[in-house]
Amino acid sequence: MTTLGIILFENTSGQPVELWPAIIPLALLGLGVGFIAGMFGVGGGFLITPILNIFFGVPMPVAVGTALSQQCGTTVTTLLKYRRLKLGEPRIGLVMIGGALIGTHAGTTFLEWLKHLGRFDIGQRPPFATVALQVLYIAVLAFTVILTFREALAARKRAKPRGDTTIPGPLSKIGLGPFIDLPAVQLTRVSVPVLCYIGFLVGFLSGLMGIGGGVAFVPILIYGFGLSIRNTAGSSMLLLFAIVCAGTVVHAWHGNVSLWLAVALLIGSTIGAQLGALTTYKLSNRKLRWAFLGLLVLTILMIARDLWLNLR
Amino acid sequence: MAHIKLVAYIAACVVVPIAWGLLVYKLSGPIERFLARKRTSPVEDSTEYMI
Repeated sequence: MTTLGIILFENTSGQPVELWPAIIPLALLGLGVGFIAGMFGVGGGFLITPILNIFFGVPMPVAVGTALSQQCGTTVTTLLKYRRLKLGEPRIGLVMIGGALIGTHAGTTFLEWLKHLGRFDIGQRPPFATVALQVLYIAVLAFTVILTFREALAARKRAKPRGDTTIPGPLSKIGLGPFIDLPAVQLTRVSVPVLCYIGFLVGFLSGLMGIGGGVAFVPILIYGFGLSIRNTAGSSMLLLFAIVCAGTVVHAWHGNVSLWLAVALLIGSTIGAQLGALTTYKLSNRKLRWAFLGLLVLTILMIARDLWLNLR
Repeated sequence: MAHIKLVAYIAACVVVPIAWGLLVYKLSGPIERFLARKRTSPVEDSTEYMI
């Protein structure tokens, strides 16, 4: 069988994995994740990184860098769509961008540091970076599960949808000056330092874990600042695009991006996202929210199981 | 030469996915029109936060 001679990546055992035939299951993974992303309206980075690592043996730093590269393609499409709809407040992204870029660099540098710490001396001797990221994934996803569960319960009590009205959240009331008004999302006197620190945190998590906004930034804007879903998506895309591009550059510099792998995932996920969006219109958002909660819990269990098998 | 290769590789890792994303954006109009024909019922509660 022809192999084309292209190496996709070296797996966790140090064995080179060639483009053919690995491209087929990887494109199918992209298709599946794209379907889920399209159905739930998320980027899918939180699924791609752990699945690449657990089921395909892609080392965690390469999985993170490749997921970010793939998201350069998905976020630019979404950014342009939201710019066309003129939703959200672009100033949120512009204020956060400085902190976010510093955070992205800090996250990728931290991952490089973890990469050089070597392996644990227990169980299957897993790499330190893999264990650290799996623990962090479980923590971040559990945080999202709690917030989503609270919102799912609150939505059941609401007689009708809130629309695009902003209900100011706790982070929008912090009195740390200087302040900025965000009229497009009906917020006044929002603390600029708080926005910058949140930008740093989101950039750090993205550079470290390869996630976009679905499980980190979007919940902060929704629950922390009280924005509606459509305004959140419109406000966050510019920042997320900048973060994934910056993260890709730094990871590529360290040799953590497999371009062929990213392209295979991107092609599959583009088709899957369209099919997923078609499914969305057949289910109510409330049912989808509970389904998304189930998906998050399954992802946590999948990562926890792999962590347990590696360490025992 | 190695530096030029590295810079080209880094640029490709960003530019290739973005180019694909732009292509998808250009094609999304016809695809969305096709999907719109497939929709049979309106979206319930479409402004609710999903995740």
